[in-house]
Amino acid sequence: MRKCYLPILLLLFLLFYSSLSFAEEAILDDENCSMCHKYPGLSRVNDEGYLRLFYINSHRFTQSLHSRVKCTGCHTDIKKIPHSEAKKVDCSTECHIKHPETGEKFSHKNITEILNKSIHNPQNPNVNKAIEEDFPECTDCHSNPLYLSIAEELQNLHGGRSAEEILQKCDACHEKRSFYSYFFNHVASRAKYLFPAEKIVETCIECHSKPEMVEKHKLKNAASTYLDTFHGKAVMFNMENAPTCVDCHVKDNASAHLILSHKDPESAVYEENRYKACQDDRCHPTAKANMGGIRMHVSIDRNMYPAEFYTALFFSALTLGVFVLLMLLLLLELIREMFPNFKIRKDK
Amino acid sequence: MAKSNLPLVKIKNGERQYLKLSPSQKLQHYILAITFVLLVVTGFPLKFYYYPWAEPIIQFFGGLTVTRIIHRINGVIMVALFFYHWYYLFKHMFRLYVIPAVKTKSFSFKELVLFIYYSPMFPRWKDITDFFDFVKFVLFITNKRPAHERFHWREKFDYWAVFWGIPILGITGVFLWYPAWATSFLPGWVVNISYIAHSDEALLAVSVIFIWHMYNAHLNYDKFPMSPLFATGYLPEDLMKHEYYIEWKRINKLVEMDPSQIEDLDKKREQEKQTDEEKIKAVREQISFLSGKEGDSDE
Repeated sequence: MRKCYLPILLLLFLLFYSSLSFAEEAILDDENCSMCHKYPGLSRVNDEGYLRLFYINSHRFTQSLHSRVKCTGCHTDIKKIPHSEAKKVDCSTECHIKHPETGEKFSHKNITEILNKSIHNPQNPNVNKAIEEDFPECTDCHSNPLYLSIAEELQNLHGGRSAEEILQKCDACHEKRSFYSYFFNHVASRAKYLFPAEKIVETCIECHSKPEMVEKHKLKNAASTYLDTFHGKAVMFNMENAPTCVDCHVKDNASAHLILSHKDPESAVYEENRYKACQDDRCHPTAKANMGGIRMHVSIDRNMYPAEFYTALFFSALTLGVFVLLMLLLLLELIREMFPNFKIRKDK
Repeated sequence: MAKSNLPLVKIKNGERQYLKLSPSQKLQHYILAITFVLLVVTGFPLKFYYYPWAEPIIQFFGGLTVTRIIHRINGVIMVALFFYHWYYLFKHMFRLYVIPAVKTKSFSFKELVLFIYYSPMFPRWKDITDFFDFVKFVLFITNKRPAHERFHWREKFDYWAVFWGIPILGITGVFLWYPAWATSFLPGWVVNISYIAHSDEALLAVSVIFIWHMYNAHLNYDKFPMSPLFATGYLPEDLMKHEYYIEWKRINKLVEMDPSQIEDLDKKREQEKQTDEEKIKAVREQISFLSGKEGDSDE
């Protein structure tokens, strides 16, 4: 019996040790939400049968974009603990954060306004089919991402300070590092493209290549056609400067939320405007108006893309014709060589 | 075939080898083959980007930026070879017929047309009849194989397929390389169909070369596992007689009239062979020379 003590002690130690390593860091939690949400197993099967996890990893949360917003800043319908099922978050809610410039309560309302002008609003007259529930909300494209620090990269710049040295500068006047590192990250993480190109494409493809969406909204040339172009392949093979959906569908210096229909004369992809997107210094600076005529969403369809359809048809017929004929001859010859002196018709 | 510096027939290990490709033709074939393989290796991972092998190949070459440079360099070399081949054809037309005929004041256009018609790679009526004779043969209608000249209909098919393929791939390739330039004088859909044509024509070329051409040149019953032709320019007699009966007869007739066209490597080797006495004598002479026992008059 005595032999069992050691393993049991070890197991007990491991158990406590692992729970110790999960000890919370200081997050803004006057409301004590982490009392329950700190437990990794906190979950529930919802009415649709999906297991939903309600665990909040406080370490990750402190490094995320919304780390300074209180839980009830977004989850406004929760007034008491324990609470019933929470409503979906509305990003245009005014949260507890005060705008440092105006002192007003902060909200993403202006982004919602921009989005409402875009083709992603079912009320837009250019929409093929206004099925409200198919149209994206903020959370369909955005999560609560972590701040990706570029401090290490700054260090590699000519004359750049190391991450620690930068923060030491701040230490001189500010006391709470968790406070000012938030502002540092806020600015620094916007100085560079941090979102990988293929993630942008993946986000759009989520809806634009979904078969039922394509059918319902008559999106014949869905996002997957883009992957067949050199642009799409460059993104897939991690080429630098490879253009994603946003690079062509959003006008220069406009918000990525303002994607307009190709029928809208204001749109970046309106027939006459297209070549301007090609003209970007990093892309095809010498592009002329005709370059906008190169189609980026070709599907082999007789009515939509006749030139492409007949070219593909011609080459498919040629390739198949030649290949089948040659393979037939090859096979026949191999069979024939097995019986070199066999002949159907007898000599007269 | 022109009377070249190379012997028409070489005899090695008791077997007669017949000249079929000149060194220049061999070199052109090498350049074509190497650029073709490199173009395929760097181009197909892009065409078939959705297969798992695509990414490793591209990463092997150092990423898309590098593969596209390799692809373009090889494309330029291949197109340059195409133009060189035109020059090569005209050079031989002038060297073999036009200049000698003009100098002897016997030039006629009818004869020039005949010269071109009977040049080795030109498609002739005989190729069509040969083809149908071949079909009759493989369908067991006859036991007689068609007798071929220096290049038979399969080789001519491959040759003219390349003649059609390189301009198609070259022109569409340039459009894809410089889309901004192409659309400065052409509508945008030309680039779109170039894209389709470039990749589909490449697939056709690959399927014909890697299966049909490889089978004909190396893998069929007669030649398996490979034919020495691409490396040596010569074909052994059994293959020559079997596949190119008319050419075999023609060369035999030529070397019968002019035996200096035969290079007997066996005999040469036999003559150059040293006897044991000669060998040991040479060794001893060298030892005594190097050990300084002879001719050390410097002291």
